[in-house]
Amino acid sequence: MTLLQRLTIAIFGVLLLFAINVVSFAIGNNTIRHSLDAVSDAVQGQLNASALRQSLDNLHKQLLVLVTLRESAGQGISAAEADRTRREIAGLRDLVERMERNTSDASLPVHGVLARETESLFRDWERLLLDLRRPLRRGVSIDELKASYGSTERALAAFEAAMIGVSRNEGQQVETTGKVIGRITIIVFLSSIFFTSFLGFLLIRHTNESLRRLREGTVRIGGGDLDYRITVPGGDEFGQLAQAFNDMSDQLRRAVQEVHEAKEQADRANAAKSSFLANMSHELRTPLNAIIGYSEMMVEMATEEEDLAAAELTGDMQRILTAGRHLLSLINNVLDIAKIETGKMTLYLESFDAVEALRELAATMHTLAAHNRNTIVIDVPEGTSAPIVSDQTRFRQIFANLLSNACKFTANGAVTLDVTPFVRGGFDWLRLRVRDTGIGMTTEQLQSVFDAFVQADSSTTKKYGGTGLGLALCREFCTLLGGRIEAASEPGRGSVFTVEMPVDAAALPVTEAAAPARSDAPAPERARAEAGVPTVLIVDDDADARELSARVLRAEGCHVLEAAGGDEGLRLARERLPDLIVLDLVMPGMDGWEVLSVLKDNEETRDIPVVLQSMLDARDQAFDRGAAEFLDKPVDKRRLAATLERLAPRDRSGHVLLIESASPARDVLVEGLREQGWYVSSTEQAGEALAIARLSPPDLVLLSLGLPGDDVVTLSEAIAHNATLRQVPVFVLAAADGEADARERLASALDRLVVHDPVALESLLEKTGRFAAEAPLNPRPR
Amino acid sequence: MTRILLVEDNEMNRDMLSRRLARKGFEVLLAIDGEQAVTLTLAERPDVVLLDMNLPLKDGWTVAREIRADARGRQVPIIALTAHAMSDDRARALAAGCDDYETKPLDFARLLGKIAALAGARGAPPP
Repeated sequence: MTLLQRLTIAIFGVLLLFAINVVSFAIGNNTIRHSLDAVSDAVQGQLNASALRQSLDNLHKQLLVLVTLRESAGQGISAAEADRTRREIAGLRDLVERMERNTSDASLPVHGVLARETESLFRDWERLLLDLRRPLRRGVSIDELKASYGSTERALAAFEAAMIGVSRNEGQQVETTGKVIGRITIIVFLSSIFFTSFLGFLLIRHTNESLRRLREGTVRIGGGDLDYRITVPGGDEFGQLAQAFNDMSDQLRRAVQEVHEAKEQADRANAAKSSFLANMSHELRTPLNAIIGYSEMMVEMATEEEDLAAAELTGDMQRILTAGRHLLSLINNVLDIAKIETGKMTLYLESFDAVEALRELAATMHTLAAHNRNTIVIDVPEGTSAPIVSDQTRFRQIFANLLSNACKFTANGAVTLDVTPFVRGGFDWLRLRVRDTGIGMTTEQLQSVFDAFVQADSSTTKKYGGTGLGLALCREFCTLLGGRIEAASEPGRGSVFTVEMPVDAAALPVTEAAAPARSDAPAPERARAEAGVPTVLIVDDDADARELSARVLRAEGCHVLEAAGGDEGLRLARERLPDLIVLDLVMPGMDGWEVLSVLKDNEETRDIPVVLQSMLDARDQAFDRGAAEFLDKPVDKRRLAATLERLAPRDRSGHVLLIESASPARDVLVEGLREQGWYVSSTEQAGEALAIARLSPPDLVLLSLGLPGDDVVTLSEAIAHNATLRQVPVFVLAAADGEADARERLASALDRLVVHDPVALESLLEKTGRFAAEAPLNPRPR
Repeated sequence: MTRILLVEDNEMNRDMLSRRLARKGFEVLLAIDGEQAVTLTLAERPDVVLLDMNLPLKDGWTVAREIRADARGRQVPIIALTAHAMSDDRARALAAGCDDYETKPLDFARLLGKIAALAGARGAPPP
């Protein structure tokens, strides 16, 4: 019960008591007034009765005298005298009649008797008066007269007695009522005082107790005891205040916890960096020691021994070279980590054979393997090839690191590398495993094995050397190439490192893959959205399905946001306002219908077209509830692409004609161009290229020197002679120096020539992007 | 002839330093890990031990303490060599019983001076 409710009840209680007091007083007053009226009537009645008695007595005596006079002297009365007496009798009649008003219900019958008796007396008297006017007539006797008078007198006495009774009764009534009112007033007054003090006492006690607990709680919470809970009885304002304090201490505790964790993490990172610096210093000084030592010795030898043959120095020079290369690789590792941490790592995707690359790599590592008497086994059937589009340098770096680690931590054992293709989310992947029979790792060591600057523990550094950067780099490179790496191990039994790589890393947009912290970097994403690239939000709890849709959409040049649940989806929708939302229907927690209805209820997100995806047939329902499209699951690539085109058409900046033979590298380029908003026509035939140019004149031509035969020259001559195409800038993609000949011939045919190395995809895209920005082109219908 | 025990696990550095010392006329014994270092020192009692601190099996500090703990090794001069160059490394090496301390990359002339001083103090003739 809240404080307000308590106070209200107390006030109402007191008011009720006062009301009882007032009502009882009013009722009592009324009763007393009625009683006093009755008393006054009764007194008036008595007075009247007394006056009546007096008059009756006088008249009676007078008439007796007259009767006596007549009987003795036979004398009658005069007419005037009779009239006067009659008027007196009439006056008395009136008086008796008036006396009825002085009666109450109880005394009314008594008055009735009195009225009857007086009336009969008055009649007797009137007859007597008639007798007295006629001499010798004898009517009413004196005895009759006396009897009549006597009964009247008795009735009058009864009336008087009744009046006295009434006035006595009513007097008592007034007294009693007065006493009752007095008692009630005193009782109510006393209970008001008691009730008010009792409530006040309760209120003060409760308030004091609550305040005491709050004070105690705030002192303890303020003193740092964040687990303390303030308990205040009841759900009133104090209870709410206590709850607010408890919530505050909860949040404080969480905040303190977070700060504490952050500090610990920072300390750990700091310690790791310090120990990394120490290790790094050690690692750099060791080869430097060899380089300087050998060099000094060679200088000594050269000065001391005049007939020194150069051949005698070759071995030492070789050693200096080895130490120098080792030093370089250490420095490169550090630089790679730095590049990745600052998001400046660039990837160069190309097509190569993974198995062949691994065989070459293993061959270069035989010396290292032999050092601990290990053998490296490539466990792949002879003649197997695994073509892959990836960054070959980084790919080799990953496995060089894994193989050298395996050799370092294994003695007299085997290091086995195997390759298995598999399919995930509709895309081809390779699983590459490096297994060793070495010292292995504990569960704790496994947890931080991929963290930069951390080796399994510091004693490992002492025993085996190394900077602790290798595996961190492996993980970063795997992520950049769209794959992932996992480690499993058992102390004493060996370790297995499993790398999963997409066969076509180009299916990932290059720019995104190169930005490791893409979720933390909203700014570039917004910039992309402004550049006319549609942003599509995918909401699906199934990671594989999400990935599949994301790839299709990215391939169409979209910027893709992903959410694994309804809540996250709604948040992203509100924050980023995508151009299209692809929404899964069946999700745990908030399902697609709920998300859809929230989106449609919100003014900001109402106009974003929503594509519902489900295995259930809910097409009609979907359209009823405002979905723009309904697609069956699993997603059909073409249908999704067509839906995207219909609901979120891209803003084309121009038409680029790409003339290059089909290859994964070309696909990467096409994708990159589409992301920039170009409408790309691509062909590998000169004739077709010219046909396209005639039908839809391009704004830019990208021409590869890698085309077969004389196509390049034919084409360039055709371009030079075509009135329209002559105006169009041509970027020539040169693959290698070997094509210098073709380049020269081309230069003679085209006066404007931009030669570009196709491997540097990013810098090419930067050029095309700049070109589009500097020379705004008319948007064309597709 | 002054006999030097060189304890170094890095193959290239061991090769380089042993050859440079041999060229200066020292007789060089080699150990490639901490256990060998202790065994050889106590058995051969060289005139000077050049002890790398980062060693497999037993690190340099343990080696120095174990040599000093044995009566046969109490008098053998030990020069600690380390590629670590943190300020407390020197103090730690001396605390473990080493007589002197050199960081890598080595200043060979200074190392020779230290070897001469320590070996000479012990009465071994300079080469």
